[in-house]
Amino acid sequence: MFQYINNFVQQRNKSHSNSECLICINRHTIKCANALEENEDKDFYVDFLGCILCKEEFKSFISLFVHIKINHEDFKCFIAQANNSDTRMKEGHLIIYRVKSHKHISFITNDDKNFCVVKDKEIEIKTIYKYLADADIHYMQNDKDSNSSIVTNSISKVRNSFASKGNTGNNIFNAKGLNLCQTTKNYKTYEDATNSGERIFFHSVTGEILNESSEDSDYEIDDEDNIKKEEKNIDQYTDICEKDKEFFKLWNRYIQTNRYHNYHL
Amino acid sequence: METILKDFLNTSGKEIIQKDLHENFMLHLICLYDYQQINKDVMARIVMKFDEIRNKYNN
Repeated sequence: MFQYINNFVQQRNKSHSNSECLICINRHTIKCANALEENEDKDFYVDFLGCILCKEEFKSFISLFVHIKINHEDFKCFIAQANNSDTRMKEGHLIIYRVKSHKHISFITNDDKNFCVVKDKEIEIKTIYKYLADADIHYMQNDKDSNSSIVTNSISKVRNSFASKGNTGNNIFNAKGLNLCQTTKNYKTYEDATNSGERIFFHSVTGEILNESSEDSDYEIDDEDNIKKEEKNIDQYTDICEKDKEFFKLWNRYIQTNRYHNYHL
Repeated sequence: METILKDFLNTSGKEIIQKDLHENFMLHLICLYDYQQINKDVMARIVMKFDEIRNKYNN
């Protein structure tokens, strides 16, 4: 496996020195015949469906797609639709490529089990599309490679579809994945929101587009309203002169606007 | 507490002088001193800063 990828990468570098890194993985490159026989009846067999970048295992093919989409923005994952002699890519191969840089060596390891494995003959593109359609994931043709498809969808839509799927989507949104997702900024753009026809909500202070995972801004208190109420209460005092009232208002306003009221003064 | 008072003078010092509330501000400092929120060194520094602001706006 390691040798195969090395040869492939060397060939790739010779032919396309400045192009994107492609990794094709199929059943024949990995020797795991025993495991294959046990799962012959399935539409497609996955020996170890895991992310090669963070080494996290997934139960379904779609969850791996979504995981790469959410947590590894630099990479894109798609399935080959037709044979390609230049890249040794065959129909049904899972292809993961890095979009921005070419540091593909960093995730090639000696351990074969760390790679994604997809059965190439029994798998049919239609079945993959069926799974994608069941999960309500849309895909479009890749501009650079007409023989491939890229799963593209807004995160919120994918999340909603998997939330209704039960076990299928649990792999994606575990604690680790969710943390990564929350730390990723601007993963939902204005265009994504408008294209999907969703109503857009903006943060009241920062102006950022709010997602489902965004923190609710209900904790933000309208200071001005509270200050005015307190000033009305101060005005109701009859045994204090006007100057004292003015100073009280001045001090209270300063303390509340600068959030010093949380501290003991 | 010292930084809070200094910040208060920077933001609201002008208003205190315009509304002639310096006596109230001094009473407020004394009150804080009585409740041991500030010591006499801090009190002296705040008063000096208040004097600076008052001289700045009076001139």
